[in-house]
Amino acid sequence: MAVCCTLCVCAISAPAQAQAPARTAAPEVIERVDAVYPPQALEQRLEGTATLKVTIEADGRVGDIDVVESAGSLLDDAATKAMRQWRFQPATRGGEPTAAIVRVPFRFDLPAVERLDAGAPPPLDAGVAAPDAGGVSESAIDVTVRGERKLRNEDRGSSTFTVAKPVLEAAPRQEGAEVLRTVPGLYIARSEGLAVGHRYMLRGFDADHGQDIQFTVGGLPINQPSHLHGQGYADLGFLISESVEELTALEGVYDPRQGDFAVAGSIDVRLGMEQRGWAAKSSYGAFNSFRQLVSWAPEGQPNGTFGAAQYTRTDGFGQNRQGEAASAIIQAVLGTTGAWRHRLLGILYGARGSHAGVVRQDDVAAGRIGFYDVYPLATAQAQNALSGRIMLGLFSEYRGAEGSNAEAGVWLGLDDFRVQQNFTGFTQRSQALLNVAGRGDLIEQQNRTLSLGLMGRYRTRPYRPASWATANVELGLSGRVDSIDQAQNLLDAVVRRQTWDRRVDASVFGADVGFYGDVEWRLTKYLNVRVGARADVLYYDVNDRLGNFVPSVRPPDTFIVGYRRSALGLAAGPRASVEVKPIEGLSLRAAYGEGYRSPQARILDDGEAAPFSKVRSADLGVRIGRDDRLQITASGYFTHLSDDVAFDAEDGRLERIGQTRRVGAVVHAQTRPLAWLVGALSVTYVHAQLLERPPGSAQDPQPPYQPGQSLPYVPPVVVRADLGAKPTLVPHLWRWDLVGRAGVGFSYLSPRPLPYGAFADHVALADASVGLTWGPLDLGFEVYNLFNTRYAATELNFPSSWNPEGVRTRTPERHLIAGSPLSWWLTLGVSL
Amino acid sequence: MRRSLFAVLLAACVDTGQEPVSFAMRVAGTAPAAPAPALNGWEITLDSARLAFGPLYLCPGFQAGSLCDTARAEWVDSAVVDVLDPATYDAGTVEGSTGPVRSWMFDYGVVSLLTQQQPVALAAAQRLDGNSLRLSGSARKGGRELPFALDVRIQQVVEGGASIVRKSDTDTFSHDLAVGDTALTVRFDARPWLRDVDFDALVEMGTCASVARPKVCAGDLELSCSDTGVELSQRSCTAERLVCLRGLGCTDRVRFQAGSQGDQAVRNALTGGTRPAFEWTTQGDVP
Amino acid sequence: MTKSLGFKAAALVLSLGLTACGGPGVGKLTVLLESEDTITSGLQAGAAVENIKDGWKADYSKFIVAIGDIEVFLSTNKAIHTHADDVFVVDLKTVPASGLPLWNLNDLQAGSWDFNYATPGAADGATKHESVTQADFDAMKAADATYLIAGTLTKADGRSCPPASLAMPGAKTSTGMNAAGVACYTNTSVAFSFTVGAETTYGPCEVDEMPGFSITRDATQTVTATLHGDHLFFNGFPEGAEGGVTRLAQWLADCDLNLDGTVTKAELEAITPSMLSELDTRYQLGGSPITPVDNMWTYVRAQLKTQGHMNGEGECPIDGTPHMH
Repeated sequence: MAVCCTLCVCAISAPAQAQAPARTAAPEVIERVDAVYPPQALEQRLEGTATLKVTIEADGRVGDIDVVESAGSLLDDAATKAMRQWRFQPATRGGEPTAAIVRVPFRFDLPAVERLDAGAPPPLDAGVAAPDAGGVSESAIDVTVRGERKLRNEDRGSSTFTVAKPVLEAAPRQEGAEVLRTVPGLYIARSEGLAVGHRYMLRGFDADHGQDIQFTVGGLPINQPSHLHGQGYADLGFLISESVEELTALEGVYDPRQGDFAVAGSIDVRLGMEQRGWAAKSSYGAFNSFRQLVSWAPEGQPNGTFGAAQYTRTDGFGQNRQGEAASAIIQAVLGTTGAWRHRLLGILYGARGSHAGVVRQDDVAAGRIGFYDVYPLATAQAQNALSGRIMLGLFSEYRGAEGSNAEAGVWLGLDDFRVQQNFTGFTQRSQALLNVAGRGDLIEQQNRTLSLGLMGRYRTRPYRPASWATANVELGLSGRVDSIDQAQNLLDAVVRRQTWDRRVDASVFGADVGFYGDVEWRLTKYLNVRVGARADVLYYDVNDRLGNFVPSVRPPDTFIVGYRRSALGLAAGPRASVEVKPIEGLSLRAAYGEGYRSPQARILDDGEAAPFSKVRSADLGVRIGRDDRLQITASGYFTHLSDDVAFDAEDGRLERIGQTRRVGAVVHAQTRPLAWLVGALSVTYVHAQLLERPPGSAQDPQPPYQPGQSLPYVPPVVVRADLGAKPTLVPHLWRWDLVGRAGVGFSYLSPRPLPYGAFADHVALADASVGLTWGPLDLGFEVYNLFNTRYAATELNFPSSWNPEGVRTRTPERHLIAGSPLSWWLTLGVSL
Repeated sequence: MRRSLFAVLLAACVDTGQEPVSFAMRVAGTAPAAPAPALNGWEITLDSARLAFGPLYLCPGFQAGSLCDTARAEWVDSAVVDVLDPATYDAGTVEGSTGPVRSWMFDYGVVSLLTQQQPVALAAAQRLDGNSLRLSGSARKGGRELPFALDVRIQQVVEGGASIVRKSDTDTFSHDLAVGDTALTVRFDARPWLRDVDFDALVEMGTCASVARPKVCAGDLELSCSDTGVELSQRSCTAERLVCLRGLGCTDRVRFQAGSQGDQAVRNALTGGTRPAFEWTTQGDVP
Repeated sequence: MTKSLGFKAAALVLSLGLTACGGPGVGKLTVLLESEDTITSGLQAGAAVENIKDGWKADYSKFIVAIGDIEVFLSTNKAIHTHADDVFVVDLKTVPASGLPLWNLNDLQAGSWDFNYATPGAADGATKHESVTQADFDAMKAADATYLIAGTLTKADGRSCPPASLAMPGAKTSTGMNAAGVACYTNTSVAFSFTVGAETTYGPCEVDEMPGFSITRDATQTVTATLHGDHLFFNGFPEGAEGGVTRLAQWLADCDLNLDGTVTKAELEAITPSMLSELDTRYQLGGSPITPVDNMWTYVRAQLKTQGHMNGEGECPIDGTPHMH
């Protein structure tokens, strides 16, 4: 989690000092807003003084701001943003209000614990005041922004990426979850309508709906264990992009805090809104799409305190793709000055959407169906999904003496999910009803989860065995219980969605109790070593009400159908990382860790020691860059999975495929050469291999296997580029600056293998946006899929039979779910 | 869909373990070298044997049927096979992917669909008026000759949606589909199909006194009998180039009706009897 | 000093935690033999799906099987496998409802395992179970049989309609004809006793689409090999969920060629399926595990080969997995 690196305290060291000539009075501060020590600057250990030359208008408002002494763009921006929110009693000349100029040096000091050789805090700069040529008085106000030490160091290995707001908002985003595209190696696609979570791919893992990525949002765990629609199902549809302040992605398993589903890695979304006050944004776009956002971020409160609500609707870009969604996020940070700080977070989300499902590639090629169409059959046109979720969390932080600290949190979640979808056409027969078949494979999945969790950790104050060495020990725990009800049925879309077969009717009670320990050694300023371990005990109680089901053709039951069982298992593994910093701006990193993915509860037998998929991952890399002008990370990585799974569309579930290995590299560059220009580029390559023949089955006792064959669904190359510019076009146009905005985002996925020897086409998508901000008004125009590329959001390869009057085909065929063609949004925003 | 050169190069670096395969589906018959034996010493000579064949599925598992929801390769078409013609001819294309195939299943032109209550005749069966097999020929025994004609429709009655004929455990079949496969020939031999037809039951050497029927066959003579068992007249079927069949008298040929013993015998032979031969042709084979 | 102690204590806890985890461990498997109710209680005549539809009632007096050759494979690594070679000759009529524990496999690595078993011939080293008489056991061994099944079909107005060309009614008088015009004779009770070779391997078995069984550390898992008793009366050779199968018994009554009230192997061998008018278009031979189905004895053997299941209704592909020992 990233919450521990987000906090800071500001103090004004001195009030405005006036050295005005006779009959002039210097402006006086009547409302000051603390500058936020940028987490990225803390992470990069940037400090220094950003001195601003600020024009205080005759009405007391802050006018032009020039950086006269730069401390790097991160700190300059932080100072400028804070300054913008100040209000003054204007200067006076002869009793009349007049404009004035003040110099405000913002001093950003790192916390002592971040500097091994820290001495006394440097003295504050003295302001210099002198009237300028225009006769406007210039005075100085000194500000010191004390960077608050992070509660713990989240940076593990070379594959820890922190994506800050400037990059997140560089390229346009149609929805909140698309901010994830800035994470190197991550690709997300929405293919099952507005109410079903995205499909994720991350550096060699087809994470399906989240099975291989541990997601947290503001400390709330998003993945849902044993979800019927996919293990670790993580729907981030509730995210509001404006409320995402920062992403931290730890690719690999190197931090003992990473728990279940952290197989490819973990991603934490930190929530906050920089822009304070009221804001409303209305957007209208292609396909009769509409979005309304309302947010409120009280002035003078930390960024973390805000409320935002969003409503979206669309007719969809093709047949059967309409949808509506609404979400609300509210977060309050309480107690910003004492040892204790508390954060309350609530998330509410509801969505319903139709979806077109799959179309066969051969049908598209033959012109039997349009690329963006849905099969003209009731069972296809009935596809839809519904999703609702509420999550509440209370998290508390404690800052003790000498750097010791602690966190504790509790959270509660309730999720309701139902999808009705048909992947295979007409291939099913009823087991419950005699001689009933071929009514369409409209499978309904229903999953309801009530979750309660807690977390806590304590980090000791530094242990200093020598002057050049300090160490902290951290002990932590996390726990959750989940009460899950799930059902899967076959529905007849023609007759009021009658149920014509029952496949799953189960309740699962699961618990996960995780413990970890972590020791961080800082040995001189050149070497940082972290060693830890984590163990999770998982418990399952499964009431499978259709267990031991007796098909209708068999003699009558001699027992009552059902199978209740329980299982408990332990997953444990070490985590370690080393960082060497031979010179400033160069960091060499290596990391190794072992993690796990829990099993889907319903596959467990009684007493089974929960067969976890064990992941071993290693990273070796380098990070170069002193500040945010340019940062380059290059990393090679290795991941081995003991018992991998792949999506099987026929059964709609994940099937075991055996041991797998991923070897790859990622290069990530992030640059901010100018204060108004930001860019990021990542290129991820992976060679994902199956290390053994997949387990045979009665259907396929000898699955074809070539040693080293590639894993299905995994694109060898993923590229992502973000470029954003936000220049001031016309300074001080009437009352406000006219600020321009332009952004471009580009994603590329190389062709990826599919099961049964097929290949999915590559995906290359470009999005662009332009906009203008003038004071409280904002106008934006965004274009997605700029080149109107026809692409598949998801491609699968499996047998289906979509012609109810034709001979059934049983060989796998490429199926695709269309991605959106070119679309646009026009947005008008007002902020107060 | 067009791919960029870069994309093609990337794809070329990836080994997926399987490759798509596509090869010719060929069908063939077997020239009857000699009359085929049937029950009780009858010998069968076929004049025509046209069989509706297809679709065919090649399955990865040792059992087809419900264990073949995902086939390795398939030919979802149908063709009329001249079972007496040993020449092979193309009936379409088998599409699939590389890997072992250990079983097969097929239908005789009439398929059971999960979506339809009644089995459906494919194009090949439609050419045979909805039948799976149309046979004609003659059975000979001791100087007697019985011309016959037979239409058989073989359709699923037990498992809706499943293919009727499936490889059994005693059938030998194993092949590893490879890119080099150029053709699969399924070769039928009609000789065993009438082996269990009881032609004796069609003929009789009766008298009006022994058989209480208006028409009684005494070999090739049709006897007209009174209700009291008195022979009223005789008719030589042979003279009229006809044959005398039990219960029918003089008639031009035997026409096996659905549900008759002959129909049942042929149906059983086609479903539970001798299997067609599966012959593979790979690159480099001498045609 | 406090700092140091706190740090060391935490480090100790951490190191203890790291060493607490062991390997997967081993467990045991007990395999039980279980008979379906149709074997112990018979099949009733009636219209319900599980009934015999043509009015016959079937009861078994013996349902002796040679069964064993348990073979299990670790799902994640098929190279790890073990087996219990023992073959027992057991009368399923006497198997208790709780199952008959016959095989034990020890030291199985914890995890998921595939389950296979066989009904081999009894000649080679089979062990007689106490439920079987020495005479029956000897008969099984002598014939290298898989099954010795004896039972009776009864029907108040039952009759046999043997193929006309094979019928040996002797002095019996026909009481009419069946729909195919074959002469029928009163036969209200038809006994049968078959000593059958129907060697079959079953597996890998699945229940509720989940393969095999799981072994947990230091625990004993149980699995049942379940034999069904109604397949002999199926009108075809369905797979999987057994489709729209119908249970019929007239064909067996019609195989009593000499109308002595008992169907013998010789009679079955003399009849081809095409001669039996009862095996009409309602029947389908296409899925027979033995081809060609050249006579009714083969038909019986083929039907018996499909009887093996696991844990009640679990499906086991037949003859699909070559044994590795």
